[in-house]
Amino acid sequence: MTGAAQSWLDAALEGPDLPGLGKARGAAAKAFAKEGLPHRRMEDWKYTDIRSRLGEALPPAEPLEAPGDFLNPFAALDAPEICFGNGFWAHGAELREGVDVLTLSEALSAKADWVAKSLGAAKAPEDQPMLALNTALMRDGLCLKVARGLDGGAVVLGHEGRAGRQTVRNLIVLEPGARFTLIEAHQGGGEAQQSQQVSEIFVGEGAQLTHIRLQDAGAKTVHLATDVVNVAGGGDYRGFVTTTGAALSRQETFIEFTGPDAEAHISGAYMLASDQHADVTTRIHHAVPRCTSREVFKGVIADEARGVFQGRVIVAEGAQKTDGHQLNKTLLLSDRAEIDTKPELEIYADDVKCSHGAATGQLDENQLFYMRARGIDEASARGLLMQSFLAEALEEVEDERLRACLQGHVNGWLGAHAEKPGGVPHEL
Amino acid sequence: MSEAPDIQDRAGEKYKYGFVTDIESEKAARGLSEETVRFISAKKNEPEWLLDWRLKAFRRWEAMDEPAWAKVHYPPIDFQSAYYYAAPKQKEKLESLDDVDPELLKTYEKLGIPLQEQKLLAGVAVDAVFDSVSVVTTFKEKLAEAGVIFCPISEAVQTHPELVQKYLGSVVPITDNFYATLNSAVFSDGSFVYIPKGVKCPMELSTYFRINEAETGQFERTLIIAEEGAYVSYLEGCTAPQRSEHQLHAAVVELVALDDAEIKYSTVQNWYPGDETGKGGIYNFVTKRGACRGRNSKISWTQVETGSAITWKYSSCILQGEGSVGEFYSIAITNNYQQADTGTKMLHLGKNTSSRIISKGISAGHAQNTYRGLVSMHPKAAGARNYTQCDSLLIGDECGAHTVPYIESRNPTAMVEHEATTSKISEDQLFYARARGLGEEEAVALIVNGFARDVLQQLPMEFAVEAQKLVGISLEGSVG
Repeated sequence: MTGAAQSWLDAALEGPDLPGLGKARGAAAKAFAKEGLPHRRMEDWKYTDIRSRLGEALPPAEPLEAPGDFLNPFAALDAPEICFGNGFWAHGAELREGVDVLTLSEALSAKADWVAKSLGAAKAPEDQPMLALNTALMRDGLCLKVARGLDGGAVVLGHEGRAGRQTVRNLIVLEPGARFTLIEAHQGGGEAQQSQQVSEIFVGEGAQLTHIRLQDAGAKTVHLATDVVNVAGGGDYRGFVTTTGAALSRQETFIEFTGPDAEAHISGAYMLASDQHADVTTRIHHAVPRCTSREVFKGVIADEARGVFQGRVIVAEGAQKTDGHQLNKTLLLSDRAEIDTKPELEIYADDVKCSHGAATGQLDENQLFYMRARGIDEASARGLLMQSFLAEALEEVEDERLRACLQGHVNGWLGAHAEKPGGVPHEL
Repeated sequence: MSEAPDIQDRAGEKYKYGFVTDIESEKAARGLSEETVRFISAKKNEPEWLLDWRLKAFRRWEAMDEPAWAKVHYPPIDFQSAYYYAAPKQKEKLESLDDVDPELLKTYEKLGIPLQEQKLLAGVAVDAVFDSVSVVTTFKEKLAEAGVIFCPISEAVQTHPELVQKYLGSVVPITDNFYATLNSAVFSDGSFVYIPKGVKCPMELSTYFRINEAETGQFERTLIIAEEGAYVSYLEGCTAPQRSEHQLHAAVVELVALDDAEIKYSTVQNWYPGDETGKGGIYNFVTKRGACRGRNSKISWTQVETGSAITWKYSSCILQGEGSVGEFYSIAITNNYQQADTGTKMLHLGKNTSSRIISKGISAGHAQNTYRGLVSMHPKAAGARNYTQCDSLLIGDECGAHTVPYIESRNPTAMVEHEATTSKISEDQLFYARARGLGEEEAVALIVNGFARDVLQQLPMEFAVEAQKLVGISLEGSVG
């Protein structure tokens, strides 16, 4: 075993103290030790060689005294803000009455019933070494519950990372009929960082959660995020993931329908440049009948960056009347950019409608020519075309004000990268 | 379930007949060792280089693990309990069609196989009227005139060693994968085809007419070379149920197309699928790959897979020559407890290469049907194009249909489009057909044939009509 892999094993076995977690940690460390860090021979990790890219485990991060650098990209929404620094609770505004908020360590010390009941209980795919690692190493996180039938409003959950290894576990519980909007923004400085975040999310019967994530982590950050989402009968989960940050990132969304007539929409946009590597992996498990899932992921990849999209939809035996649709399209802007796409359907029920589409290519020369002929300079034309390309994904965000904030971020990226013709070869 | 007994059961019963052919044969000792490989090579009187090649493969194979990534499940295979060589056998000749199992004859009839062909298939001694030998002779004369070489590969090793040595293993190297490596070590026989420069092969070539000993054994090896500007269409297998004494079949097919050459390779695979409870049946683990080496060369795979208990097969194209074209048209039907994990790989290496993948999977009973495919655009594949359409149809609520495409692009000017759908036969279509007087099974066969039409159209005429009927027969007993 290489030094790096061993260092993660050692780290897992020496997980920090949190009250009442001893047993779970021991079991998780053992589970992680079975295979250690994922490797490329594991089908789910075929395109992201985390074993060689992650490097040795950094020393655990320390809480930030004053995490003042967080710039809320969603300030226009006027939503209350909760801020984590280096993976530890820093400060938080009051939320509406009926929305319980605790830090993970508080919740464990106070032995909050709802946390004890739900933490580690979300149904997830089997044999996930990185989930086990998170359980072995988690130090802090947000535990949030929205009471039955309540519209809990929105919260902006800011993460500011500076240095070191940050392991966060969040627990989000929407009781039946509740509504909530969780907006995550990940930012950070240029120091080497390893950030791993797992969120267990329970959407109760008839509840609706909008979950936005804007990952713009620092340039030397390895950012690994896993959302384990359980949607109960009639529930509705609307996720959107924007990826522009981190040197190496992997966003995993595992959705499990636990009751019939539920819906899940999970979409996103990725914009990558320099030598970034970003992996979006989704798995939607239709375990019960009459659920609907929809995915729209679009991306643009410049320079030597590499994008990975793996989308798997599983329809279990008996999950009749399932409706599943998935789309993934990518533009390559440079001749050294790469995209690897694996949309996957695994279907064991017959009365279903499932489809996926995937496409890769470059900007359409004809469209560019058309715009140039109308006096639009090349950089603007490229920017506009990419903007309209990504719009199909952004349109999945229903709230206009939210979408406008995301669009602002997307436009910022395009402004910085569209001017470069990106070395598109003209040797055709 | 309809009243009519499942034809596939009947066809299955027939296989018992297949297993009683008890003919003296010279077998190699049970199991696989260097000795077995030497024995096979010596039996075939092979040159030193081929023995070395086989031995190299064998040593490599010993160090390999069986692949486990496909979505198929079967008990572990004991490679040491099998026989790897039996001298070519004379099939037991029956006196007349009256001696043939009537159920098998019914199947032939349903497929619309002419009487004389039925005799050939059933192993009936052909009389003087149907002089298969003379048919073959005319056939061979015509080919020789055109300069086409078409013979068993074991014969080609003796008569055209320079060609075999140059191309054997050049597309599927002996290190390729577990089953291809095993095949390289112990391959029994198969076809060798060479089409010289500028020649358009005057007729469709078929394994059917290679004649003499039709038994090629369980480790078939086929090599087809189309020189500059040559064209050949090759048909493998037939729609009639095929029997085999071996449970494991691991074939290798290599195609080489040089500048402006075209190879069209059509397969109808209908090996014994096992009975309705999933007992028995052939394991069909095949490696098929074509190399488009020349500019503007083209390789087209068309397959109709209805047989075998387990199919593991990915007919691939290496698109190396500038402007070369790869095509893959596939129908895979699984019923009862059959499992198929099949698809293609399109590796775009050269500029302006293009490929098209049309896959239709149909799953019924307790079967599992997986499409697995790779489209890879390499950095130099400027202007390359791929279009993929994968559709799956489910019949019954206990079967599975899976789609696992891999798309890798490292060239911005390359364009890849992939679409996949999964659904069941629409009630409306069924109702419409039933209302017009069709029985349920006929209606299903009609709809499935419509679903698979894009692929059936690609088959050569000889195959297309029978293949349509085969689609219906394969699904009998799956509805109602």
